[in-house]
Amino acid sequence: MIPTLRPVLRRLRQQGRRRQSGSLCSGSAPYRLAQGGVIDRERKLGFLFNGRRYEGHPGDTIASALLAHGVVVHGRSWTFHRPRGPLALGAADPIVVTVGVGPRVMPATKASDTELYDAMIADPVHCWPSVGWDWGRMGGFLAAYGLSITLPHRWRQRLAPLLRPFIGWGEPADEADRDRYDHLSRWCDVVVVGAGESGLRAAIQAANSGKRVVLLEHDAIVGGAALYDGRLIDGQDAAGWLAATHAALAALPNVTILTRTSAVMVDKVGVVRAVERCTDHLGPQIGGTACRQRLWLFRASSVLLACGQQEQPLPFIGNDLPGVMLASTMQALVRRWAVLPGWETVIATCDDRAYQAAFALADAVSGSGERDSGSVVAMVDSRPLSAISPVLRDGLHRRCIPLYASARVQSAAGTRRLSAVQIVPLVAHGTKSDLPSSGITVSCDGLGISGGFAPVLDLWRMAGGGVAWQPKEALWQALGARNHAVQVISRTLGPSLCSFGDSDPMPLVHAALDDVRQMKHPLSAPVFIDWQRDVTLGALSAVVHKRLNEPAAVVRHTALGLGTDGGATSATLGERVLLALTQLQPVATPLHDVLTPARPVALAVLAGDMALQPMPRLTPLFDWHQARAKTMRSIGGWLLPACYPSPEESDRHAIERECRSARERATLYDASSLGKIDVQGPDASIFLNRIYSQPVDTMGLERVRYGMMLNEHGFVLADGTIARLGEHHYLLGTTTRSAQTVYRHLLWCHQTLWPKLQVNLTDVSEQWATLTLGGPRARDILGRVAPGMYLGPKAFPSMSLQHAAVAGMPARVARVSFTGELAYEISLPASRSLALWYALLEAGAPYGLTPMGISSLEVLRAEKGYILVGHETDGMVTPDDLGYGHLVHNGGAFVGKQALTRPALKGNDGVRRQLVGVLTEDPQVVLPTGAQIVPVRGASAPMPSLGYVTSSYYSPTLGRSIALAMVAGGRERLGEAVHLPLEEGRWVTARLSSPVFFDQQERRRDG
Amino acid sequence: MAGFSILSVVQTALGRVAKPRPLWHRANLASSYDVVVIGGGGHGLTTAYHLVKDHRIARVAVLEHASIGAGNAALNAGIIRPAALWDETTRLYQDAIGRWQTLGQELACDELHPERLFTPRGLLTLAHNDGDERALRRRVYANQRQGVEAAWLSREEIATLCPQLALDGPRWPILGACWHPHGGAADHNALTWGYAHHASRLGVDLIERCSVQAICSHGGAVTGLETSRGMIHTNNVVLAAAGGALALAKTAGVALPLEQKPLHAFVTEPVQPTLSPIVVSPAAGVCVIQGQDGTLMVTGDVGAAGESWWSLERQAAGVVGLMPSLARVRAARCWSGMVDLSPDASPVVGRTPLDGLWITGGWGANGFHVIPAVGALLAEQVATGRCSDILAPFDMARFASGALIDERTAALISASFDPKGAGLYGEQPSFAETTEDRP
Repeated sequence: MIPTLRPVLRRLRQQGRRRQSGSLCSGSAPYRLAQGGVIDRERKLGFLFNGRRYEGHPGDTIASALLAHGVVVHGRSWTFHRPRGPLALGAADPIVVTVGVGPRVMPATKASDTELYDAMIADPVHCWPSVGWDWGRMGGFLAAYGLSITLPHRWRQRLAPLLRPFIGWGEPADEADRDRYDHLSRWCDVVVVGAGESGLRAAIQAANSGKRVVLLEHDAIVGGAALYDGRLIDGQDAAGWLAATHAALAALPNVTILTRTSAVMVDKVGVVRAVERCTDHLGPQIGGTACRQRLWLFRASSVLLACGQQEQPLPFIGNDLPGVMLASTMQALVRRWAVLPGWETVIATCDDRAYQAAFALADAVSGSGERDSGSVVAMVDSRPLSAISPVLRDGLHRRCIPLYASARVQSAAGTRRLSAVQIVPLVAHGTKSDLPSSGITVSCDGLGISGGFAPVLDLWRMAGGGVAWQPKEALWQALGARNHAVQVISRTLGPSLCSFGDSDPMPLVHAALDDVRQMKHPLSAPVFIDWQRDVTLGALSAVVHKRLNEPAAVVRHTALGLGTDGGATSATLGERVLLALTQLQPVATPLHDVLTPARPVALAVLAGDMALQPMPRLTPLFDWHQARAKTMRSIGGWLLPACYPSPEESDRHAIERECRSARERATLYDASSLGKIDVQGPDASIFLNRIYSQPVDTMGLERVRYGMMLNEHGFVLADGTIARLGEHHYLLGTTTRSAQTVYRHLLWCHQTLWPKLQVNLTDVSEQWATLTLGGPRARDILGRVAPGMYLGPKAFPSMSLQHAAVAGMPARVARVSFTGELAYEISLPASRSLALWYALLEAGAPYGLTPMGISSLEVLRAEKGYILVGHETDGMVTPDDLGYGHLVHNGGAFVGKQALTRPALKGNDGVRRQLVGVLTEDPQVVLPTGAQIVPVRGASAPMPSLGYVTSSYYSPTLGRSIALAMVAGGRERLGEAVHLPLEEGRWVTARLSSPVFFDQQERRRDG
Repeated sequence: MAGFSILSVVQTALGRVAKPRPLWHRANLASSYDVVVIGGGGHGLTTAYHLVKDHRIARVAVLEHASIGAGNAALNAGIIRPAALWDETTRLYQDAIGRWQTLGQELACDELHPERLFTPRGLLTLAHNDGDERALRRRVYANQRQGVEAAWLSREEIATLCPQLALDGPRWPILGACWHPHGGAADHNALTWGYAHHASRLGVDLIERCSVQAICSHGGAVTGLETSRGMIHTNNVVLAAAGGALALAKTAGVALPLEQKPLHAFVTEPVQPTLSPIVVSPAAGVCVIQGQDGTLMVTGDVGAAGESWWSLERQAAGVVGLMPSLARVRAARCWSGMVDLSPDASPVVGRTPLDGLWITGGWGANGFHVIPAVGALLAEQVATGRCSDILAPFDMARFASGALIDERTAALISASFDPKGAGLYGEQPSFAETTEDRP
């Protein structure tokens, strides 16, 4: 179905785009004011949005450039697919678009937070075929909402390709990212988060006292709200002050200003993590080496948060129509980007600061002379006339803006753009409004709303700062100004910057609630609380009815505030609505936990180069191995050669050749990956006695012993060699895989069980290289490179060691074998191993010495029935299960001793699985490892288990397949036939045998 | 809302759904109960529900210190695992899978759309090294013998099933994978709210914001509870409080063989559906699942060391290393929950040494998908005293008898996790004499 549909879908999508483009004026930017703004009008940047070309200027965001063209629909909403335009500024805006194509696509990017670059390709998301004509809306948002949730599974699967565009914000790339990301850390004295007026003042102050200061600003330029809210700073114009301050700071050597850098995590001890967007504003850096984004880690003695405030929206019917935006957004559009948000604008507020937005809009239009009548057609204030300052009233009067006090916007009308608002009196304060009770309708194409300003407290809360609910203004305020190293500074700079004391939003929330209750279908009333996740007032009231009104349940039920805007515009409004619904004042904690990271961070930035760096451990001879081995195996974190096939040989043949050489002539194996733990100290013997299942202090000097250590449950943790190098000095050898486990186990035992024992534990695995020379001719070869050594069976018996010169280099030679042949493990400092390797190969050439890989070693040890921890053990195996019961004879206490007496561990009742050999009836069939052993052939699942195959190989020495297995009561069953079900109903029959398939008397090893 | 019809879809789509009703009654706390369940998460609610529904226990209360279903029930990824390694565990998982199939109909209510409850997605567990490959191949054979559909997938088959995976990634090259087609995902909120709704309808008292301070006992048997809302008399207490169980049991002098460990997780911003199966990588320490809304949810391995941000970085590296095409998807929020683990990483369910005190704990990251089964079986044991064959192996007594069920290779548990503290459970005394130091 999918392939045939694809061309049709594409054509429909193109048609949709064409249709939409017809309805828009093109080329010019009719909403761009003739002057003003912080944009570079000299240069033009062309970009594509929704398949259509537009132009903007450096300094523009996608949102501002689109609004300049009169394009207000930037996306579709999550559930109902309603057309949406920008609401807020920067990262707080709920609207997301996709920017870029191919591997450099950025899904879920904020339109009003993305700087324009030339030839940018941006696309709306969550709509199909285009943002103007969206089937999610047209065919009923059935597809998006109803179907995806309530459809039976089989239908849903069939419809999945159709539903795809309606799920998620944008499509991830389908190939690997090619950009670079890095992590940087820095120490400093002060980190200032936010370069608005207070941030800049704090930075200057700290810098002047000689501190190392880092100033972080999310935006591309410093200034924050001072860029657009028309304030005077120190008696001068804000723009002039900002420029001067920025220049002064930039000139100081102890100040680092990082713009386009968002703090995403703050810890109370003074740790700040921030993401710098290094090249995103330049477009794709094809072939470039610059890193795209960088994760900073600052450790500061003081963190100053100057994150400013976020204007909050108001609830009313149709408050999500494109053209409705926050008053501060309008102000910023006019002052920063010189874009007129609408020809005829209404401002609705319960707060003083929105008046400045009205003044800015009116002044911009009259100043530009584009239209003679004022563009602000009404100022709607919910507060009574008496509560509005005469200065503001005078300002409106001078600009001929009619003021409706004690009034509110009840509903907004329009299809794809706001066309009119209904203004009705608000009877909250007992004062009468001049408006008729049915209200008036004012036609307009822009509506600025303001529910007051709430402080941005994400980072403060993340750092453990307390918050307190302000009942009148209905918002959270920081409780106190300092928590350990973290300090909130915005509010310390005087009332002019934090005058939220005059807003009064709750009557408006109650009024909206009454409106909704009177509607026929309250649940579907388009009064939005969360613009991104489409949470309506009706949905919140349903939550309260369902008794899911615990804050955590509300968030989980509605996803309120969990959008990519972090709840910047929705969390406070949501709390206000819940307060109105339940009459319960929020007590101590805000609606949802603070989100970490504070802003979404790309996975690639978090990963840095962690995901890309291969991190295997390599033996000193790695290059030699890699040049000769076809297959490298990843074992215990090491990359080890499987075997060394000649060019015309397969791995299997090479293993057979190496195994034969090991039994008949001699082999050389790089055993450097084996774990080596050095144990020293006056209590070394006591310590090891408590670790191993047999005492070690009975060993003579320069002797080696094979030992097992158990975990607390009596099960085998690891096996290995113990070499006694001195009275109080041991060297433990472990397998490659268990080195870390053993070292951690020893450290834990020492540090928590017996901290007073005087023992030093050092992991010397990588300091020493170990080369194993084995095979019947090993003695002859070693004799040639170490002429000074006595190698006779009496002088150098099995399980002993000598310090000697080998090939002229001091080395430690131990007679230890893991192949069952005569073998010498020669250890020397890692840096010299290559020289010894070549010396041994040269000396061994006349004897047929063959280098051998780990796959061959595994076959050889299995022929001898030597266990490999991790193969034969699985954390539930005792020494006795493995046939090593004789290794448990320790008179004193050792880890796991008591557990061995537990009934389930003793069992001689045929229940415990024991190590046995498995010989298939057909000697050429090699069983797969992990295959299950059952008593009856041909049964159907579920079947009871006898055990499973732990290791399985083809043995060149025996000319047949061999396998080791753990089988219930296995030692009692030797010779019995068992059955193994394999894939696709195939069965194999085998007989149980002794796990030692070759040289049971150990004559070859010990001879 | 149990049925599905074109009309219901249209009505839902238009927002014209029936007027919402309270999901559960606000009960008053009585002074005595037959059984009190501590913990209003999935396990607690289910146990209470079955105590009343199957065994007609008259007075049952669920005490929750926060709000219903807000603990680990809300924090987990809702993954349904069909099988583990050992027969005992797989039997329990399979019992749960059987119940999931019909659970939607059983629990249907306003909040719970039956079709939405359980979605089979398939569970892909990747092998990146020798040891993983051996362990996972063994698991495939064991599962096939146990009668669970499982398969070993070659690299080519993996590429077809999940093209996002980088087979030759520099850090985690893929050798093969274990595939469980019947693994899936379920809606955790729907589950807890559904159980809460039906338990409340059957007369269970759901008490929110009531924390238990101590378990009172006399003569080796439970007599009551001290709570923030006063004393409650009861002879049966079910501990379903995850990490909180440890401290509570201690108040009654019971040492549980459990250890608390953090489990970190994060979600990304929602993106279009791109990842169909659930991808688990023990070596990279991540489990990735794309939810119905398009968010990718990533959980880590239990017991991995480090603070939550460090885990976020490590898990992000895991996702990027395995699926490089997701590199530019953005992590939206991360969180941590505390899970409890027993020394063998298998659960502890059933009796405790104290008469009348029952436990369901030690679930680690595997507690969610067994909720329907464990609640029913534990309720049976509490009500009748008979322990079902399925739960019997998970009795606490196994630490004394040595009959452990080590699932560390099957559960997604950090390689660095070695539950030492709890591991010495029952063995501490023997070291008392040896901890005295050298003469």
